[in-house]
Formats: sequence, structure tokens, C-alpha cells
Amino acid sequence: MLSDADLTQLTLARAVNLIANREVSSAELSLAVCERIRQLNDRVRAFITISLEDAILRAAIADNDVANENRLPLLGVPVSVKDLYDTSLMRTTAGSKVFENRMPGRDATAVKRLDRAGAVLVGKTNLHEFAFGLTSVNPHYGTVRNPWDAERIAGGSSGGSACAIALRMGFGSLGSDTGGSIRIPASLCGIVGLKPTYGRISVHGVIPLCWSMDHPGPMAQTVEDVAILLGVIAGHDPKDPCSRNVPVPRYTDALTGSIKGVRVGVPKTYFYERLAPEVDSAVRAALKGLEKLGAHLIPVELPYLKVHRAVWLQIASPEAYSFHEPLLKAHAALYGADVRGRLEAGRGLFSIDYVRAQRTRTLMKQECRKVFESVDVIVTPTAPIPAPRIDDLHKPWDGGTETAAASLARFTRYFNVVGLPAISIPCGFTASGLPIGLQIAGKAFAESTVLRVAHAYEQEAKWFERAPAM
Amino acid sequence: MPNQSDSHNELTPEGAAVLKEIIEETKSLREIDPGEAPPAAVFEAE
Repeated sequence: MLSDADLTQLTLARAVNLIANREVSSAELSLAVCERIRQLNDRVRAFITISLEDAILRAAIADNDVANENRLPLLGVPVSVKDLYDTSLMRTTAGSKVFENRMPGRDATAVKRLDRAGAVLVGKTNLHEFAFGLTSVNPHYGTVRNPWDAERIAGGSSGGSACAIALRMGFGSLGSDTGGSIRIPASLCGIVGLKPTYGRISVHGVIPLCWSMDHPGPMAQTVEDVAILLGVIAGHDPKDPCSRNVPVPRYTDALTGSIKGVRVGVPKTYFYERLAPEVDSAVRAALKGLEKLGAHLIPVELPYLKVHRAVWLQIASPEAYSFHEPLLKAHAALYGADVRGRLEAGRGLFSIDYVRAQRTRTLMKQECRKVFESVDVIVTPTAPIPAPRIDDLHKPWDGGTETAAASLARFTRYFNVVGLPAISIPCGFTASGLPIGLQIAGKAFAESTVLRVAHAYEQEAKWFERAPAM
Repeated sequence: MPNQSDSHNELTPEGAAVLKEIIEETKSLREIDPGEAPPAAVFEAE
């Protein structure tokens, strides 16, 4: 007999099996998760809306399905989604006062797929307002706290999802990533987060930030959990014009534990510069770990890295402003100051610079194609620093001019511009107990390769066995 | 700072600071010679 505390410590994969084998009921699991949310959420602000009563009802239905031998990939498993995904039974605020009472009356395609897979939705997670920021310091719904040190940020924009997973308030969550918003909070909270290939998961019903760089994706405790979630939500959706009709493999089949002969690209410049010393040593140790597992490390060059931030800003800013223009005209005072400022900047840019950015984006895609002829994945740190203190966000972190907040997306944005899959997995902890993330990126639609490398490292290093004390 | 044909509102100080930062960052982009590269097919991954 497992206690409530034991139940919430399960991985998603284990929870699926225990429910299917009737060793645990969905009701027991959902009650344990709901109790944990009730105990912790006021302290960490991981959730904006909690749906405990609906979750218990849904769990009862799931238990009935189990009794009827119904086999679904997530049957009875409690999960959450970022409050950017439309849900028919809960409001979708996007973390903003502008949408405080918005009831979209529909489920996003990814939410619908979770539901059809039997998942139990326990709530909607907190985020940086409208997903336009990397800290999840939210003036309307509270700052999401880091599960390892509550004086520090969880990262963003999917900070609530990462915090919820790390604190075992559900077994999986859906986030979204336009410049690192899945991978950065995954890195700072010590969990696994995958930004898949652009077009792999439908954006239908996900409130946009930047249409051409928005990527929905799964977050969970382990690579296997993320692979299971990806298998459920990936695939073509005619309701999303950006969705690609590419076959969805069984991602868990890729988790062989073997990466012998895999070619790991290690960028010669940029990604391994200006790192916090403990991040530097953890990531270099992870590279050695990959080598010990039989991978070959190959130096690679990505010359257009030097302009990728400009490309990202010139594309994201006007796209974001375009969506928000009517909302800003009607409700500007309801926005938080930082997000309003970022959005306003998007109306002051020249169209020629947008085209220049899109042409450079072509060059970046070409350089990726060339590099991925000689490697299978590229490995980098996810973020140059561990989770910064909330009070220190806008201070330079290393004596230079770069603030802690500005540093966070330095290594993640590139893969949004080129649309390639990239995962963040834990690769160590600082002496003070803060998680450090490793980023593994792959070719378009090669999520299986990314997951395979991530899983092999994870199972060797076993960082996922650590849990926050909270 | 660029002219804004639809500037119905003044920029907030935060907006002005972000715009200044983007303009500064864009200088590096303007130095790139894109050769014959057309704009990216926006809605496709590499």
C-alpha cells in the first residue's frame, strides 16, 4: 500500500502502469495530487486555476474505464496545462488581467488529445503574462517560486508547469516555447522539457505569442514521461495551418539506452562562453558522460549565431504586437509594465528589418542543414546560470552588463528561429542545491533521436532521483 | 527611433527601452549580406 507521499513521487510511466494493473486507482492518485496542490500552491503559485472537483469526477470515470479493460495511454493520470491552452471547462487567462474571465468554450487540440488519452486535468498553470517573458514573475497571479529555493524564480514562461512537476503536483504538464519557455523553466526547476519541431504539435487553441516561433510541448519528471506525452499530443491537425503531416513514431521505442556511435555536435563558440562556473563544469562533465556511453564528440560551427538574437527580436516583436494590437488599444492599462513594454516596441520597427531577419533565418536554416549532415544532435547548456534570486533579476550576474533575466534565453532562442527540436534535461546541481540543465537539439522531426540521447544520459546520471525538500 | 505612422499612443518608458535595445541589436543584422537568400518559409521547420 503506497502512502499519498509515495503516490505523488511516482513517474508518469509508473503511474500509468499501476493504474492499468489496478494496483492504484485514479481516484487515489488524483486525491493525493489534489491534496499536494492544496498544501503547496499558496506558497509557490504554480497554478492559476485549480479544478479539483472536476478532477475527482474525471478520475472516477477513468477508474470505471479501467474496470472495463479500457486501455488508454494516460488513463487516470493527473496532469496540468499551462494557462495559455484553451479549455472548455476552465477559464484561460494567459496569465493576464486582460483575459481574467475568458471562457473560450473549447479545448485546444492538445488538451483534447490529453482528454482522449484518459488524462485527468487538475488545473491550469501560472506563467509569465501572455508567455512574453522568462521569469514567471506575474503581477496578476503571483510570482511562481522555484521549488528548490523559494527566493528564486522558476523561470518562464512555463514556470508554473515546471514548478508543478518538480513538486509532484501532477505527473505531466504542457508548456509552450517561443524563445525557451519550456526549456528554461525545465532547467531551473530540475525537470525535463521538450520543445518539439515546429509543426509537430498543433497550436490550435493555444493563445499565440509569435506564430512562426510558438512551439507547444510536454514537461515531466523523466525523458520517458515526456516521450509518452509527446506520443499522445503530436500529429497533424487540420485546424492548425502550421501543423505538419509527418508520421508520429512510438517515441518510447527510441529509449534503448544505447547511444554508441551517436555523433554529438559541440559548438566551438558562443554556447560554452560566459557560463556560471558550476554550469560550465556540470555541462562539460555531461559531455564526458555522453562520450563514456559511446557517443563521438564533434566540434561544430554555427556562424549565424552572432545575429540570432536580432533575428528573433525582429520577428517575435512585430508578430506579438500584431496579435495584441486590438487588446492593447482597449486594455493597455491592464497589462503588466514589462509585457506591455515588449509589445509596444513591436509597433516601432521597420518592415525592411523584418524581411532582413527572415532572409537571415533562411541562412540559419541552411547552416543547420549543413551541420546536421555531420552530427546527429547538438549539445549545449540550456541556460548560462542556475535560477537567479528574484531580487537579483535585473542586476548584472557576472560583473558585466548582461542582467540575470536577459541571460536566460541566450542558448535557447536559436532553436526557435530554426524550428528544430530541443530538450532540456537535468545534468547536475550547484553546491547550494540548484539544478543545472543540458540542452540537446536535433534535426527536424528527429525527436526520437533527441529523446534517445537524453534518456541514455539520464539513466546513467540519475539526477531525476533528487526531489526538492518542499 | 523610427517614425510610427499609427502612433496613437506614446510608448511607455519600458516600451521605449525595449525598442532602443532592439534597434541597437539590429545593427549586427544589417551587416549581414543575405546574398540570394529569400525570406524563410515562415511556417516550416528546417
